[in-house]
Amino acid sequence: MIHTRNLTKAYRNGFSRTFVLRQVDLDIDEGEFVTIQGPSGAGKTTLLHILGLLDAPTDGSYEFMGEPVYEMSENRRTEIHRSQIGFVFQAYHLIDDLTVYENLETPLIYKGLSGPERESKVADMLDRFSLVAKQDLFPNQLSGGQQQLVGVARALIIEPTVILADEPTGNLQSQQSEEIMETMTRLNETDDVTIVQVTHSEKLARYGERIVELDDGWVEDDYQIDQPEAVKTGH
Amino acid sequence: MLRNYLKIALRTLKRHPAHTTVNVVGLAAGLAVCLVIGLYVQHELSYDRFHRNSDRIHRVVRADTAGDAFGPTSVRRLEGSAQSPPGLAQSLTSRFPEVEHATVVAPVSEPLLGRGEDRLYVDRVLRADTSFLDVFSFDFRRGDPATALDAPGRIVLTESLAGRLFGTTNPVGKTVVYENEAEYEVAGVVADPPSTSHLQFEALLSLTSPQRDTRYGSTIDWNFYGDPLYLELQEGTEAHALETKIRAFERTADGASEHSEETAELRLQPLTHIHLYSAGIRGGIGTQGDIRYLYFFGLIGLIILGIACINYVNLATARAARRAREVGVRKTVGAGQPQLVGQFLGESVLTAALALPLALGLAWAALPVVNDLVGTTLRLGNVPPIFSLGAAMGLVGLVGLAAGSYPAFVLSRFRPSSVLERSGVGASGGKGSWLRRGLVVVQFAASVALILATVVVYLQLQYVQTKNLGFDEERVITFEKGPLGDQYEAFATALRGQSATHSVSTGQPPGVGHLRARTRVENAITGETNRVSVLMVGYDYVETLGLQLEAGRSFARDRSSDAEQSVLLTESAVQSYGLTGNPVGQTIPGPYGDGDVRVIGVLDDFHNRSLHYARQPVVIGIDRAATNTALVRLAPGAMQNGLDAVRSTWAEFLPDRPFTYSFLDQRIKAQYRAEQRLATLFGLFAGLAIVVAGLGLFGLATFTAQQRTGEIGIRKALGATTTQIAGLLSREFLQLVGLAVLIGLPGAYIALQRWLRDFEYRVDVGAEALVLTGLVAMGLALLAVSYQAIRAARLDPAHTLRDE
Repeated sequence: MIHTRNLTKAYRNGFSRTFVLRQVDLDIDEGEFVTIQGPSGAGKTTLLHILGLLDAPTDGSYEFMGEPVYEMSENRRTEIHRSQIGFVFQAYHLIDDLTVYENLETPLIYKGLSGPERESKVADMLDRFSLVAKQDLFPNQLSGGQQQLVGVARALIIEPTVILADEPTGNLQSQQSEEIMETMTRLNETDDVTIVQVTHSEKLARYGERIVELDDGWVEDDYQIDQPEAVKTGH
Repeated sequence: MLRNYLKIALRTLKRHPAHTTVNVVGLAAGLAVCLVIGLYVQHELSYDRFHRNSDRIHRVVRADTAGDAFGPTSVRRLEGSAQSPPGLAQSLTSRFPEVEHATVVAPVSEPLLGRGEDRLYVDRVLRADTSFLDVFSFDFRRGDPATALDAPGRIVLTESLAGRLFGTTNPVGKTVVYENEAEYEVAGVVADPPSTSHLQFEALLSLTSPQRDTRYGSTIDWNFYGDPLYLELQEGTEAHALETKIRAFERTADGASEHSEETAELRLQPLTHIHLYSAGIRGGIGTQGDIRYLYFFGLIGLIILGIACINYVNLATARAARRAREVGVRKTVGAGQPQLVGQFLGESVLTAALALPLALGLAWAALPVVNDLVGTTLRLGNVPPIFSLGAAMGLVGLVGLAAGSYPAFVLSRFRPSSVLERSGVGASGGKGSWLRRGLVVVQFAASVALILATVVVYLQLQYVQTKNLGFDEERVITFEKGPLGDQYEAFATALRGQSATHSVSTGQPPGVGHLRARTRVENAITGETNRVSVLMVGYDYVETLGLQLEAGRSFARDRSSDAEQSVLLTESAVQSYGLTGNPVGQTIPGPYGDGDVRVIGVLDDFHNRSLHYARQPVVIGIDRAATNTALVRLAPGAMQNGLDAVRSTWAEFLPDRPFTYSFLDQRIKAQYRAEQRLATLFGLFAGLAIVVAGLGLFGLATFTAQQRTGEIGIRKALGATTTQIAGLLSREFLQLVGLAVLIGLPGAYIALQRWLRDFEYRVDVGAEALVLTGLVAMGLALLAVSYQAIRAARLDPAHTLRDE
């Protein structure tokens, strides 16, 4: 479902260009759980933003669900955000002025669902993530782990085909981290949601089945966890 | 969706009470000004539209064409006289089938009306005939409009006058005594004219037979300034085409070629223009509005609303960084730009809607003051509720859009990838802050302009009211001596004998003169012709008004030649006549062209007209036609005694007629009433503008102080004093206001110089006024900024740094 060829992102910096991504070729199929790993500044977040249609590459091609992204109109991208892609952020990025309930409801409003439909979907989600008691609280009244749980629930509520998670547990303590990761794994296994997560934690990378290592914008390594001797891709 | 927007908007407004207050109060002030000005404009524009055929009614104007360098005058800028020569009505109706009705309307000045023993002066009475009621649609309540004014000796009362004279009884058929001499039969009762009628009256008198004969006679007396003439044209008549035909007729009419020393031509002025476009027209009925003031006030309303909208834009864009994250999040969960624009516009419209009730309250509170100032009877309820509700909602929508579109556009354009980086703050808004600075400059430049306008109008008023006019206008009372008739001399002699009066005379008082009494004189040396004002006065005029005699003597009763063959000249009149050597004793052609007269004295120049006009040369002769105005100078220090003396003497001669008078100095002041209003209104508007702009600055300062808390903490930790920090925070704002002063002053100065050209005599706007204006603006800005700056500067650094 995700195919990139030669994906390059560069910023003009005076007379020189600073490369963030260099000729990234990446193929992710439906149902995969991919972890993008690498040190700070390797280009992980940029790659995730490009994959999530939040940012545009400088060069190279990207097809999302068989559709060339550079040909997409602004409306089409918005359409995809409404129905296909769910985001989870390290800083949770809930809307401070809305309650838990309303945060979950917002994507459905943009999707154009009717009131009763929204009500039932939000109720489902609250139930599933044990957030019923918290539905009328505002984000700043929750712990970090609870906030991220809401974040995951919000990403999931539109029933996306892919969840893009940028260091989803980066701000959490280890026990909360594990809970979140287990939730994601369960989603991948039982709901068949494709998951692409960015992390620099070795331990959390284990939750996925495939690891893509980025360094200085290059894909250094791309392998399945079950098969440590996967073909190394160089440059 | 809408509910979600509304919810978010309400919560955002609630979470930032300071910003919300600044915005709501500012917009409310702007809206209130717009509401009041809107009501005023609507009132002024609706003048005379209530007549059924208002679009077919025109007033005949004798337009001046002399000295008009701009070609034919447009109907909107007519200058001339509304007084049509007698006989014109008849000629026009018989010659031009396009004229359906013609009616001559003559104002009667404050007649005394009575019923039984009661007597009262009535302010506004018009003389007219039946055609008046054909042309104009005043609402007849009793009697038959077709016959009410068709015979001499009939009177139609307004409802309020009928109530004052007859109470609740039906007055039709009863008798009213006119000026204690004639009896008029009440032939009808008409509703009081609406406030939007330029013809205001309490009663209509039918014409006497001689009046009828002259006004509607078949020969036109072009040399006579008659009364206003109104025409109702046939349906479908092109007024302009008829006007051309009338002018062609005018050129060929008997006696028309030499009908006036002025070059004049007949024009048709639409009825609906009379109220607003008659600034240059003399001799009309009723008070006039001025279209320039409508534009002017409309502009000021927009300026104040604009200042309030700028507050909204500035605070919203300053806060943009904080909302950028929300925008990013909303975009990632599927919000398109239209939805986000909708959300932010929803917030601005909601803010405007919150401001509306406050604005209505402010307008409601301000209307009595405004009515008092402008002499109107505006009420919020004057406009139909549906219309006003629609207008109010439209206004709220417009203001919401005006204030909200730019912020909505900016905020909705944030790219999620740049604002969702880990820190959560990305958009610093470098461009936005330039825009904000520019807008602050605009706000304060406009406020400064209004402040300067207030100062200048006020200075000019002071100037015209305190300028030495060349005579002593204090302690002089003026009144009509007409009612005394033949008894006047006896009355004057009785007054002269009393110690409380200083002197008694008659004649048109100086300072409130008209242009009309003028004559052309030929300069004996250069042969040029000059215009000289003519004053025909009684004995003791010079003494009563304190005119300064420079040479020769004043008129003396015991010299019989003074009554017919002597004049006084002002110094400039001496030059107009081209007299050389000692003018006293020389002879000049008489001002009315009937034989020579001798100059017996020369006076210092004095201002015969208001200071809007140039001082003119004046020739003064003893009055033969007996002017109607009596002048009495009261003895110094005995004002009340003097007044009592005049009143009781009057009562001896005319016991059944109350004594009415006015003070000359007040009559002179009244000529500047328009400027007086302007000064007060400018003061109000300038005050509002600067308060709203100051509010915005306060909001921005609050925001900046919050944003720079960390920096302030560090600076304090490094040893900066409170003063230094407060200065640092205030400096930028004060620089902006300083720039605004530099921009606003010259623009306003130029505009005000043009306004001052309305006056022939104007105050010098010196550097003090400019400096004062600048200081006021800077001071108010400092006040708005310094509170937040000092508060931020006094925060404990340990506290602020820990937060970071």
